[in-house]
Amino acid sequence: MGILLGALDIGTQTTSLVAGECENGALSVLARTETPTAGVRKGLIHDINAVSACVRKVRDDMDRLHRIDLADVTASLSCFGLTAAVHAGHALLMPGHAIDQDDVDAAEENAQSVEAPDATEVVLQRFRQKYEVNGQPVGTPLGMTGSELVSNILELFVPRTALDALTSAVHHAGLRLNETVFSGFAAAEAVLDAKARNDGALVLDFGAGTVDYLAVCNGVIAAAGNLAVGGGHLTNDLALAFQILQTQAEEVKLARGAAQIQPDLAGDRYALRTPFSTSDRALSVHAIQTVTTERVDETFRILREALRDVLPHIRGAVHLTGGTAALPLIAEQAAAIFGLPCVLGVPCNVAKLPPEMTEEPYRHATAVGLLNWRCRTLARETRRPALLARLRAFLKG
Amino acid sequence: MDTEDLLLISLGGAAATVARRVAERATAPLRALILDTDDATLAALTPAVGLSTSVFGAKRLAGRGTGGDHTLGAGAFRDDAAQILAQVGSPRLAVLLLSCGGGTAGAARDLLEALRAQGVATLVFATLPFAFEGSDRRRCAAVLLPDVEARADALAKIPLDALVGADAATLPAAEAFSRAADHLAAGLGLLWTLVAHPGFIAFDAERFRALLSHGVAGGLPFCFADATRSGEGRAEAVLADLKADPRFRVENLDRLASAAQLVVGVLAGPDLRLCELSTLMDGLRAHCQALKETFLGTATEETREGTLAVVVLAFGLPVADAALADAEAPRPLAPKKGRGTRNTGSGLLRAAKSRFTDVSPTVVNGQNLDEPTYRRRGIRLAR
Repeated sequence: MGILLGALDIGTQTTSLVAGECENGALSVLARTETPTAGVRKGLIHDINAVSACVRKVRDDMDRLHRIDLADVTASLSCFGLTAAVHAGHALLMPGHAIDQDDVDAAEENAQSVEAPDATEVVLQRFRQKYEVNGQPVGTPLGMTGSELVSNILELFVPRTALDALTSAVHHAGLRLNETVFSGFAAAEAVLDAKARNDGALVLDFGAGTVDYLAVCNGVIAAAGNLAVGGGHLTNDLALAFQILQTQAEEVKLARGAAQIQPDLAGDRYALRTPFSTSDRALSVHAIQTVTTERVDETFRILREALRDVLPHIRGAVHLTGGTAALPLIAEQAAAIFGLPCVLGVPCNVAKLPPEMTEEPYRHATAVGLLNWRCRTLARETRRPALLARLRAFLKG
Repeated sequence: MDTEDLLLISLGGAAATVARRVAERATAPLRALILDTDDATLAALTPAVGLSTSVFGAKRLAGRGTGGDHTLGAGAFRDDAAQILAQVGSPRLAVLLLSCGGGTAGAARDLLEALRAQGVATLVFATLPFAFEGSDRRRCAAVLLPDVEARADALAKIPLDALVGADAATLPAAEAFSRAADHLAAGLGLLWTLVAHPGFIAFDAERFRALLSHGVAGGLPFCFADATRSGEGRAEAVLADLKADPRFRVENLDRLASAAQLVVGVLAGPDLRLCELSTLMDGLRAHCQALKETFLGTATEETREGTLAVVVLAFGLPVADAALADAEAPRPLAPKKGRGTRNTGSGLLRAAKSRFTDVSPTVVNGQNLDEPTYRRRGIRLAR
């Protein structure tokens, strides 16, 4: 019998709760429930009560439909206002001294920014990057000698209000929050295997409110962040272009939107359904796809610019996840702009996925990645007492 | 959309007079650019807030008029195109006033092309010369209009005779011109107020732009008229005035009855009643046999208490297009692309609002990414 895990992904458009089981470090996904999100704009919670109601709904559905009663969850967060910064921490070394864990810890501690209690931004996650000994990059500094050790830490900051609102919404729904993780990191946890990490990869989690990115080079996270543009922008562009309702625009996007003009469809017209009358209004598919392709093109170009220092070091592929990854030809467009092969991300670090999650697996990457991360964290935590126990035994003689 | 996004442009002396009067009448802030080759005309204009003037083609014409020669007007524009476009800026919707009998209007072709290239939607009001002005000016207009029609998002051909009314022939010429300018300015002033200051049923410039770009109206000719009444039964009276308005009678055709799309703007005081709107709209729908879409916008102003002013733009092809151009122009009207395949919409009171109005904008490199990309890139959508 494994440990029951819960992952909560409160997206701008959909809130999903995924239950999984971690047994001997292997993850099996058991079930998933979802509901349309209310009260979130560009990943930021605007209405805690509305979000809380959504979380309560998915929790109750999980209990009612799958007989799984989750008490605590790991949640993802990516929102407007997320920023990233790399900080270098230094540790001076004695001549001839071989670097040990204390030196590494000291350098890493120096690299971490100090949070004031009243700061408007808080650290969401920290990622260890490369080490340098006497200015030379090294993989693992332990055992090396030199005069100076530098540790680079990538920190992701989010508005304090965003993190507090998420915590409150989850608590109001009657769940405990174990940990909050950057959505892009969670997606990467799901879709990147060891080989992809070594080759280098870029994960783009294209959601409704934001596009989260995380670039892995030589096994370390080289860049991470987000752009507060998502599938909701495509819908909004269509609504404004054709003066139609947002719900109609969403339907148009799903039916005929694409990331590149599709020559075989571009000459057609899409008959618009209206809720109140039978209408013969039809929209040019070419015009629809012009609106969506321009948005996707611009978004990818902005991301390419943000990642210009990292992209030359990626030898692997771009992995697309999130709901907007369902847009036809988006992988082709990403490949054209980033100059890398592009694939739709598939959760690979799981032993079992429920059948309903295998159809469009890239949609569920964030939630599955949260479970992966939690499973890995638990495995580390369970290993630690064993080490301590061995140490205690050693000291006792 | 703020008033910076709306621009009134006039080309030529007669259009300048109308633009000046629109500025007097519009109760909303107005940005207008008055263009002419004749510096004497512009010097004679009384300055007004929001009104800027520019003489163009000075190298070619030395501040004189074009003498009714369109080619001179077009050449003068090309000489100073960069300067004029800098003054135009980047509005979302431009309303262009032309008096087609004059040579300065020849600049309209290039101006409209430049505006189209910048993604600016254009609504053109072109006045046709009085009958008494002679066949030369009418022929001049007939030559120009097909080119304007091909480049504008929507074109209204307004015979000055229709603006003056039945007694045009008996009026002194100066008074006839003045009355025509007044009538046109009154209608445009109402339209401007409505678009710039939308009320509880909004028909702002962005909706107007979308209507021209994607609606039934885009590319279709239109006619327009306005009526103002006060007192009991004002809605019925306005309706009767509109139905009988000579501006809707072009070449003996009732362009209101044959309209495919109506844009109806209602300006009134706070006493405007729903039943009056209902009377007006029901009456118009009953009169317009070929109607596919109706757009209604309202604006209320305290100063209009007791009055009801209505401006109607009727878009659609005439039932039998025996236009002046066919009779007198050396070439037929250019066919409009895609007109035959145009589809109709459902949308009475349709309105699309951005979903990002209550959230901080995503700004990258000074650009608001919440605005549609295709718009910021100036891409014109296929209709």
